[in-house]
Amino acid sequence: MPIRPPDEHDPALDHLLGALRAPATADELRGEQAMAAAMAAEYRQAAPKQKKRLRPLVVSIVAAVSVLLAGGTAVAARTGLLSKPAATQTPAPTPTTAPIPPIPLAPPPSHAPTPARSAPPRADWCAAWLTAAAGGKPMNGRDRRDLEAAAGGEASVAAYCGAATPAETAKPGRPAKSKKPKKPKKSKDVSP
Amino acid sequence: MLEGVRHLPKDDELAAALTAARAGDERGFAVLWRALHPAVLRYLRVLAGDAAEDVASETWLQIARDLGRFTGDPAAFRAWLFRVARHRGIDEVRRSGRRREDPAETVDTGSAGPDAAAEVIEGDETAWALSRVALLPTDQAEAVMLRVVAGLDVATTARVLGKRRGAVRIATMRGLRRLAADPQVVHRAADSRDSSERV
Repeated sequence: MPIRPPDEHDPALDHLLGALRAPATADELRGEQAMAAAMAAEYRQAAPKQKKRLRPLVVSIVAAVSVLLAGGTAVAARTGLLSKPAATQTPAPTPTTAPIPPIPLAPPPSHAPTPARSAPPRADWCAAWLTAAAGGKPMNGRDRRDLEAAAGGEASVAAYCGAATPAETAKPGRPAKSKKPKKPKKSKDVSP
Repeated sequence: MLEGVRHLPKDDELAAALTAARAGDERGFAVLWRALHPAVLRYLRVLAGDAAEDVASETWLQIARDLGRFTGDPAAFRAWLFRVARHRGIDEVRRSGRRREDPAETVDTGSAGPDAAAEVIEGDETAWALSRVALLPTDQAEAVMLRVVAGLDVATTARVLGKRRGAVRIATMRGLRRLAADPQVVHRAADSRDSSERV
């Protein structure tokens, strides 16, 4: 249904519409080859991706896990060097007497824990904490917060670390900040 | 008949080009681009001013990326193309609108405004005409461009604009009326008649 109101043959409008509909100028069509090549390239690049969407995902997950593992190894290597003097200088409370605070986010025992990742953070944190406590390398702020959260408060860290064993139940590498218990934080001055 | 930019290819040519493009043939893309780019560019000049060329390029690249998922005839392709162009153009206007608020660029006000099209090619009749359309309220300007320049029918234009057909008809009519009453349009038409009579 062609609509051409006000007047079918308004000369002023005809002139304008003629200009609007004028054949394409050379300027408008400049770069046709480059554009067609770019489009074909985009199309080729996009087309296979839509079919193999799973593969990049798997690759990135593998890459992410490798980075995590490599990072853990690096931390272990670093703190491993430092843990020896720290251990000799700071007497840890005896594991038998120190109560083990509940570990936030620990899954129920029925769930299969992830043993490969659960043990290293705690051991690493404690090694770093002990080093810092002995006046050595200060502990990374985020690790310290995570450790305190895991221990149930700053005051409980010593006990937590004293009781740390590789057989401890699974615990996520990075507890969410919101899970950080606030109450024990206030009992800052209470010595362990 | 609102036939759009002159020398538009027929639908069967476009259908063949679409098939070729889907097979990854560069020539297919070339035919599609040559056929529809001028109308896309003119539409975007009205919508996004100076940014039209960049927005048009982005539009075509997005079309190429998503062509694998497109299944439709040339009419559907045209509608899809202008819908993508429209969204990209609107995004650009929003971006540049924000940029204009930037103190460093306050001097450059109105760069995406109605006169932008005229600044690109001074004296060019098409550019001038586009600059007059760009002065219309946006809904009228878009309706006029899609109906008159892109050659889309009312139903397709309504789909592209996300409006009812009645609203598209009214916007087109009001836009054309306003243009017919535009003093510059009247004078320019009279001038061109005079000069052609004198020659």
